[in-house]
Amino acid sequence: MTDGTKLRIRPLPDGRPGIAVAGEIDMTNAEDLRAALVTAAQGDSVVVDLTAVTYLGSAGLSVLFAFVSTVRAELLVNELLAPTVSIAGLDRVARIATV
Amino acid sequence: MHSPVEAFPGDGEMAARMRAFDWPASPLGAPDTWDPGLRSAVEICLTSRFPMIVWWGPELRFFYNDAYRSLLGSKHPALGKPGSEVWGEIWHIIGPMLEGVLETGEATWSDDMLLPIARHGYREETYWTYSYSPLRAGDRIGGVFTAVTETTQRVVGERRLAALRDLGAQVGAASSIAEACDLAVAAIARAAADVAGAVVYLRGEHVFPAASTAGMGGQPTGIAGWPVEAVLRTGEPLVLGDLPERFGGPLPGGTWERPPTEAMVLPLRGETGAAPLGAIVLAASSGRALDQPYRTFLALVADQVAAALNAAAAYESQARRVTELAELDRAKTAFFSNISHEFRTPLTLIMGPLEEVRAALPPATDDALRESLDAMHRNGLRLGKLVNTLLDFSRLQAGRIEADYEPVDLGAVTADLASVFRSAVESAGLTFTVDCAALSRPVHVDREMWEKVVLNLLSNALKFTFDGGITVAVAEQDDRAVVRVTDTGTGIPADEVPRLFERFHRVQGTRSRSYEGSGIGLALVQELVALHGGTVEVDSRVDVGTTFTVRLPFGAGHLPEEKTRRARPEAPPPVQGVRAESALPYITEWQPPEANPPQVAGHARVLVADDNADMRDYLQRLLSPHYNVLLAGDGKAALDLARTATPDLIVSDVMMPLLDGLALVAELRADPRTARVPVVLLSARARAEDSGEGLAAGADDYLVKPFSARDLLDRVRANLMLARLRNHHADWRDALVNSLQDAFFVLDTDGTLVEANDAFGRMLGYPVDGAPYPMPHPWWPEPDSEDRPDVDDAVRHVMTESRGRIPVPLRHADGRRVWVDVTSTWVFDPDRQQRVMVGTLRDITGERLAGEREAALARLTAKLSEADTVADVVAGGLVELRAAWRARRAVAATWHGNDEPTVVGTAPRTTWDGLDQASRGVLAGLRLGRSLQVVTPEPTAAGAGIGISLEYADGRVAFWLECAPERTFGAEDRALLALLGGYLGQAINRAHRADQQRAVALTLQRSFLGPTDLPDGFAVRYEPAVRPLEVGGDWYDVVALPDGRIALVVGDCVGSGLPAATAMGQLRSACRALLLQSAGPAQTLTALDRFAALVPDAFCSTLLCGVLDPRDGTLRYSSAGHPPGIVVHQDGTAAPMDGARSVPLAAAPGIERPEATVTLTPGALLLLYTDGLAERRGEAMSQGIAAVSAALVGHRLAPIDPLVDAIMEEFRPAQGYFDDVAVLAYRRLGQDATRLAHSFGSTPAELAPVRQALRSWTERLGLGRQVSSNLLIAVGEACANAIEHAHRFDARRSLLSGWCDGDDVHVVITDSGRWRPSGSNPDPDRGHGLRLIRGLVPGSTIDSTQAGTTVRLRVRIDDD
Repeated sequence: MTDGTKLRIRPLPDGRPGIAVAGEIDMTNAEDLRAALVTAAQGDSVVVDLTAVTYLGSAGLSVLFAFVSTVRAELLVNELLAPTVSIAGLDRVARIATV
Repeated sequence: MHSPVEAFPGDGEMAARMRAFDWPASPLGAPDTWDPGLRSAVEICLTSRFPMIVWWGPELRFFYNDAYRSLLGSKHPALGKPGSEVWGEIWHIIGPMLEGVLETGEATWSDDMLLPIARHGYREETYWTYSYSPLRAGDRIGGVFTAVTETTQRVVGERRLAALRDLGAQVGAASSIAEACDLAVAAIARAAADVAGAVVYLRGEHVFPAASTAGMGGQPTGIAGWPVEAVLRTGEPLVLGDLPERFGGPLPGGTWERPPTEAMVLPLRGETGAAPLGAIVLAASSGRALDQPYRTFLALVADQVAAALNAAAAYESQARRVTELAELDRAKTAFFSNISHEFRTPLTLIMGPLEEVRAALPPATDDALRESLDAMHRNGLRLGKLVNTLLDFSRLQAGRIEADYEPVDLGAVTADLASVFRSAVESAGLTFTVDCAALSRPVHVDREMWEKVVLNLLSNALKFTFDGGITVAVAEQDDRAVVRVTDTGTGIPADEVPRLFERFHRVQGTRSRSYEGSGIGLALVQELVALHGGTVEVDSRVDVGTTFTVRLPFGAGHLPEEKTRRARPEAPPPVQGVRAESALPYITEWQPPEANPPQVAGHARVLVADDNADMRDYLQRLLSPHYNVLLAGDGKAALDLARTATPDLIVSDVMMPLLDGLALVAELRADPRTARVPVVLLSARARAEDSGEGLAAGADDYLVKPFSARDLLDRVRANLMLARLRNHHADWRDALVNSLQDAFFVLDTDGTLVEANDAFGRMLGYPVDGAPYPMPHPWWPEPDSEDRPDVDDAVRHVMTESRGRIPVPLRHADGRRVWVDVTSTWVFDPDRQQRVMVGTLRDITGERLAGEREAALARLTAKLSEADTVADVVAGGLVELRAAWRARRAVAATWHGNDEPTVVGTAPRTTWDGLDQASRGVLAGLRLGRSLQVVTPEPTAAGAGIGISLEYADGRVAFWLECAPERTFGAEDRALLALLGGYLGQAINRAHRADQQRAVALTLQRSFLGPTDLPDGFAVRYEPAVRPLEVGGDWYDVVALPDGRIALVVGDCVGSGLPAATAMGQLRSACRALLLQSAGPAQTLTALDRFAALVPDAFCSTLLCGVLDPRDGTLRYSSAGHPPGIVVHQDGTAAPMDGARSVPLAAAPGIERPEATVTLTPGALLLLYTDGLAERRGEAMSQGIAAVSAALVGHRLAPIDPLVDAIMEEFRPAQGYFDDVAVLAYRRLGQDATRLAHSFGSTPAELAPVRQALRSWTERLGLGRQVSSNLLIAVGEACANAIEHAHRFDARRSLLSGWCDGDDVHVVITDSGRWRPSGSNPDPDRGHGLRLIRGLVPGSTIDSTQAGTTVRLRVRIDDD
């Protein structure tokens, strides 16, 4: 697996509450994402930066759905994943910003 | 100067190791200082795919290539080491050979050489074929070059096969279990290279004695140490890997250099499927690891031993039965001898005093008293005669009779003996002719014995003759004295003649004067005549008469000298009175009853039926003071008397000629006029079931002889009173109209039935008051019935002939078939003033059926001879049984163990669950009953039936035949079904043995077949033909070559069974070896041509051989007369591999073999197969191939395993394949600019590689970023689903395919799982999955079937 596809999760560079996610999210690593989100959810609002995510399947979407149902979050996604997020209906339950 | 890369070219491991090696530090020095000979040898070695070694220098230092690595085992790496260090354990063998090459410069060649090497941690038995060639260094020999092949598998495999054959030959050779053990163990001892030792334990009562040992020198022969009991308890084999530890030291045995360390303990399975007979310990040779093939081999050895033991056990039990029967016979003779002696004392004490009383009677004694004493006297003599006959006979059997032969005038002696019978014969109303001429010479006879011969023959003649007469004649013929006793009696049926002289055998169903007799007289005659050196023969015709002919030789040469003497000087003159007395016992009882005594008004009428005149007189004396007594001498006379003058009560003996007591009761009960007459039966048989039989037949009471006068009178009185009470109100009700017992009818000249009686109505079921019945009569069979022509013929016959008799099949009103014998006569009827036909009918259905069933037996035997599997026998047997009974329904259930039975029925697709409750109950009941017991349950409204169940080695089979409810089943039905059942049972057991042999052959074949552990993309199948032992010679093989290419072989040896399997095994090994030596396909076939010519049964085998490079998809191939392979590309274009075709192996020696190449694009499918797959009866082979090709196109996107299963399923005929089938399929995986094929397993970890493959392909295609991302997610979802679903079923792989069609890009994912419908899906992830697929790739389709799910996605290349 090359670096471009491996899942990497880091804190936001500007120090705000939230995480920046990169790489591919599937059923093998969705639980890692869930754990990171739970850890990051300290304040009222969390930013989840998904702009560097190259693959987002239903396993990852389920984690995000579960997360936004309990925590107010802003999701940043790249334009390639925008149709996926919209077809899944995530944009109806969370704030989405397409970058 | 060589750079390392130039010196050691190639990208293999060994080339890399050579380059990395620190040569300057080694004794060989830097490579650029090496001799050019060494350098070029090393270069050849490294670039070859064939295992090679270079030994160099005086120490023979070691160089080898990648192909040789695996042969080294744990010795690798060994680069540059001295040869003696690498191969120390065999240096004493190969060292001198190598030195010899160095010294002489002459090459060596070793074929299948045994080398005990230690590459896997133990000293292993290995075989090698190799050559040592000298390598020159200038003008001397610098080293040795070796090319080598390991042949261990082939050598060992052939040896094991030979051992199994040898063992198989022992089955059936032994007559006892002990002998079978010895033979089996001896055969195992001959196979000591593969079975290091064996111990057979047979199941005893408490212990398991070691019956035989081989190779183990009798060491641990007790049960101790071997887990025999555990194996017997579980029935499962155990593998032991710790023999020395277990026994505290080495065990002897085997031919290998070290004692055995591993063994298996296997059950010896019993024939009956029940407990094992015992267990066998088989020690493995320490020269080979006890791996799976070795275990399979040992299991086959155990099966063969068990088969031999089972055959011997069957033989033993047969022999035991014969001995038991002989013992029983002897005991019976001894018993009769003893009991006869015991009778004589009381008899003497009765007869002596009786004589005294008779002699002392005053002349004025009352006649009644004198008659009683006479009767006592006569019957005492008779009893004495019976006892003496039995005693004589026992003496004869024991060889203890004392003979005293003297020369006599046989004519005079015989005439004298015959004269005693004159008055008895004449008083029976018969003529008596004695024609005894004086003979020219005397004949030696024992007078007492001769008397018995003559009197027995005369007694016999008198007993069976009612009209005419008896003749005794003595004459001379062919230098023998001939005595003939001829009568005009009832005669003896031909089928009884062969048993006539058997002791205790009594001719059945023949009319005689008396039922009484022991069945011993004629047997005695034969024995006595034989003692005289003579013969006795019988010639008899039913209703004409019988002649017994005794032939005696003249002189005394044939007799023992000490028992013969001269003629008595004064032959005692025959004393007529004494003679008459001695003949009395032979002639007493069969006087016909005298005229019945006058009737007394007011007395009840009692009919007495007994064939013994004395008994009749006695009963009359007892009863006549109180009743009017009627007398009858047999059952028939009694019945006639009862019908004409109905008595108030009948006293009848059970055993009587013509009609016995039980049959008499049945006849009386069947006739309304006599149905209510009480019957008291008398019998000498005292067993409880006899009286039960009498009462069941309808008798009112049953008295056992001897009975007291008081008892008889009490019973008669009681029964008369009961009957009077019972009959009082019913007497008037049944006015008897049916004076005729036979069915009779009258036809007019048109054939219209104008009159018939009740019996006719009963026989055919039509009311007689329905007459007139015009033709066609309603009891004729339907016009289209098979019986109708017979009836039409009969009608023509009856209407045109003035009189006649003809059998006709008619239909009863209830539909059943009734065979009747029609007797017809045309007469003039004065009332009607015209001719009418008067006829009678007799029901002969029973006789006809019996004849038909004889034929059924013949048909069954013929049918069963064709069936080879248990299922065939059961199905075939069922059809014949049904036909024999004309059953409307027939079912057979076969149980193995406790599972639900396999059911076959005359209705198609009969299943156990589909059967009605009643049939299931009957079948289950049959299963629990005794084997071969015939069962006929009470008929129900649904039907009547008959069934039988049979035990066989693996379980039970029950047969059930259902007929119409009115069908009854008699003794003949039961006897026939038991007989047919016996035949079926034998056939089932025979077929079961064939099934087992087939399993052995199949196991063998599977052990020969190619690897099951296949590279990705391959699938193989083998299926044997349906007929037993039709394991054929088909095979496949997949061989990974050292350079990454893969050799593919599919072949077919001519013939079937073990010879074909053996030839196949040899061809496969040879082919494998050739391909591993880098021979191309054509070269391989050419070499095989030569090989096949030498192997029996390999001639004319067909073979398709190919070498595939999975990296670029090129396949080089050559076909030896084999059906062409098929290639189907991803876009559905099919290409038969019709190049490079030539003749079968060895068909044209020396022919040049062609070679062709085909390229498999990514995703393309290759199918190689044997003709069994494509061959269909009545179809050209090319049609079959086209059909396979079309099916392959249809399934081309399925994963490889489901695809092969679908093809096998689709082409399997309903009854199974007629010929065996081997199939090899391959899909090329990978991608190019327009095609993608990627296979993935059912773990989430496989998802990332799928995305990786797809991503790199869409980049190659130049697909837009957004559409690529959408496609990636849609495919990811489909694959995730495939993984989840496949997971639930098995570990099969799924397939991702992609290709371009113009501007369209197609992506298809196929798996073998079944997706749940999205609406009912409780898992939200999957809900997202389907929504994402449909949303991201509009127009995508998802098809889910039982076989699997297919997701089809399509995007356009210019989408963005």
